[in-house]
Formats: sequence, structure tokens, C-alpha cells
Amino acid sequence: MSIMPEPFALAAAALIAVGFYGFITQQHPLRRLLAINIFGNGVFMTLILVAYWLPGDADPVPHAMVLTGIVIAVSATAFGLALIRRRILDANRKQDHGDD
Amino acid sequence: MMVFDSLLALIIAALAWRCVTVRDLFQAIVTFIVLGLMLALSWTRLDAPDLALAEAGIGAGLLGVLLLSTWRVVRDAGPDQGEGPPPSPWVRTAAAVGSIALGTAFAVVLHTVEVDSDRAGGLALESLGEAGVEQPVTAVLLNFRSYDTLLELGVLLMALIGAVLLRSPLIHRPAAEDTGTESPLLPVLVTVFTPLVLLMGTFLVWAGAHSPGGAFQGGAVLAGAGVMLVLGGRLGGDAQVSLLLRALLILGVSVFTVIGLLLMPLEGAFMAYPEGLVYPLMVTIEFSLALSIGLTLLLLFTGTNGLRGAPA
Repeated sequence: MSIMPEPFALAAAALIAVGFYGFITQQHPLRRLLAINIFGNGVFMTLILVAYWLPGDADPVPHAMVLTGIVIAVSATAFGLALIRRRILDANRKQDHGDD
Repeated sequence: MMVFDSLLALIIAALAWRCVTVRDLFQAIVTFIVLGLMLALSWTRLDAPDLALAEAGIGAGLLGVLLLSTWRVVRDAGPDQGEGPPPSPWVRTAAAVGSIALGTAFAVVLHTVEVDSDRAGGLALESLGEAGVEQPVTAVLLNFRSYDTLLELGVLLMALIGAVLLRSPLIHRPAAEDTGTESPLLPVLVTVFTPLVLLMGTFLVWAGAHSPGGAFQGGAVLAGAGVMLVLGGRLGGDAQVSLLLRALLILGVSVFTVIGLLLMPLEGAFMAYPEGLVYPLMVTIEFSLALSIGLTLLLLFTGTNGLRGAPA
């Protein structure tokens, strides 16, 4: 491949690095979910870049994988959000019991 | 265009950094949504309009709505929910060094990767004529690699079941206590926009056969129409799940599986479609997938088992 820096390849690397950093340093579960999603977006960007670099038309197989990935990421994140809500609910209930 | 690409890449990296480091949770979520839209823009530049549509609709739009509604729960719960002690400077430094090393290594590998022209995509593009649809991504999703899509729908359904199970104590509360705002604009907006959004969603599903679009993008737009109805107070969550709703939720998976099984004696393989029937089958599968996907995403938003029309 070319030695010229590809802007989107650098962006993909930045997304992965920043997502990883955020996942380690952030404490709030919602922030961690955001960080994981940023990491995932870096992976999607990589797959799209590889499909783009191939000679001829863009490769549809990585594209289909990314489309699947986006939906799976949203499902997993939605489940994570449901877990966060449930945790808050349980914490509130415990607090109410303590007050009684 | 190099300048534009570089600027876009810079904006993406800066937004990601801000999303991770900004103090306020609300700002982080909004930054994340903007990041999703910028990613969609960059993917159109990379010849991936299907994925740009999906990212804008699902990754930025619907996920943004889910994040914001969870943010409200977090905010109402008080400031110190889920906050552990901040990590020590050592952990921060180690994480920073590790991330920079990871990012640099990744960038180097990406710049030196040898792209092999012998690939599965070439085969897919060559045999596009047999797929029944002209759009390569739709052909791969619904025909060449339909197993993936079937299992993906299973994952989506499992996420919904898990979310509903977890949130079961919330069901008996009113769906959203602040739906009925006094603004006279809201009912008009909902009335005017819902048919248009529904039309656009249907068009996206139908367009998936020959141009960018498809069941996932269209389903997300349909779910968006549903979210608008819920927020406008026209549609509410319900503890009762009707038989019709259940049927619609599993429609995508069942149509996919039943068609695959029924045609087995004809073609001799699971999910192989006979040549003459390919196009109608593809369209049937696509629309049933879109309905199920849209409904699943909407129920993930309301967090309830069922839906009911609100009294006018």
C-alpha cells in the first residue's frame, strides 16, 4: 500500500485508541458503553477501508459484515442500557427500604 | 478532496476524544450522536452508502434516542449513581500509553496491509445475476450469507427479551410521564411527519433491491416513526403483549426460516432459492425483516412487552 498517510486509516486508529482509553479510565457504566461503541466504530471503519482499497467495486462482503455489526452493536448496547436502568431501580428500592 | 477527507478524519478523532473525556454525561451522549453522523458522512466518501444510511439511522438516530432516555433515568437517580472512585494517575498513564501504542500499531498495520484481489466479494459480485437483487450488499445479506442475517435477527430478539425481562418492574408505571406537553405544535408535527416517515421507511426497504437501502435501514426509519408516536403521546407502552405483536416480532425470523426450509426439497440446501422465484422471495423476506426489526427497536425504546394506542 501507499506510504502516504490515509486520513481515514488514521481516524480508525484514533477511534480504537480513544475507545480503549475511555473504557479503562471512565467509571460510569454509560460512559463505558459509549467508549466500547467508539472502539467498535473504529473496527467498522477499518473493514470499510479494506473493502474500499480492493481493486474494482467496493467489496460487498465486508459491507454486509459491518451492517450486521452495527445492528448487533446496537442490540448489545440496548441490553446494556437496560442493565443500567435496572441497577438504578434496584439501588433506589434499597434506599427506600433503608429509610423505612 | 484530500483536504475534505483529512478534515473529516480530524473531526472524527476530535469528537471521539471529546466524547470520552468531557465531564458532563449529557454532552458525551450528544457528542456520540454527532460522531455517528460524521462517521456516516465519511462512509459515503468510502463508497459505502448502505452503511452510511444504517449508521445515521440506527447507530446515531435510534441508539441516540435510547441513550438519551437512559440518561434521563440516570439524571433522576442523582449525581453519584454508579460512580466509583476515579482511577489513579498510574492507571490513567498506563491506559494512555497502552492506547497510544495500540493506535500507532494499528495505523502502521493498516498502512502496510497487502490487499489480496482474490476475495469472497469478487465471487459475490460475479454471481450477482443469480441473487435476484441488483444491490450487492442486499444480495450478500439476504442470499449469499443469509445465515448471518438470520442469526443477527436472533441476537436482536434476544436483546429485546433480555431488556424486557430486566425492566419488568417498570411496566406498570405510565409509559412516559412527560409525553403530554402543552405545545400545540407537537400534535400537528406528529400528524404531518408520521406518514412521511413511514413512506420513507417503506421506500428504503423496497429500494434495497437495486440501490442503497434495505431491511435494516428501512426498519430503523419505521422504528423512528414509532418513537415519534410514543413521544407525541399517540402510542403507549403496555404490559399486555398481544398475539399480533408477538407474531410481528418473530415475523422476520419465521419467514426467513420457513422459506428456507420449504424450498429445501426443491433446491437440496437450506436457504437456497430457485431461480425464477428469487426476486419475489427476496422482497417478501426484506419486508418481513423490516417490520420485525422496526418493532423490536421500538420496543427496546419503550421497554415494555406491548404497545397500545393512547386514548385520543
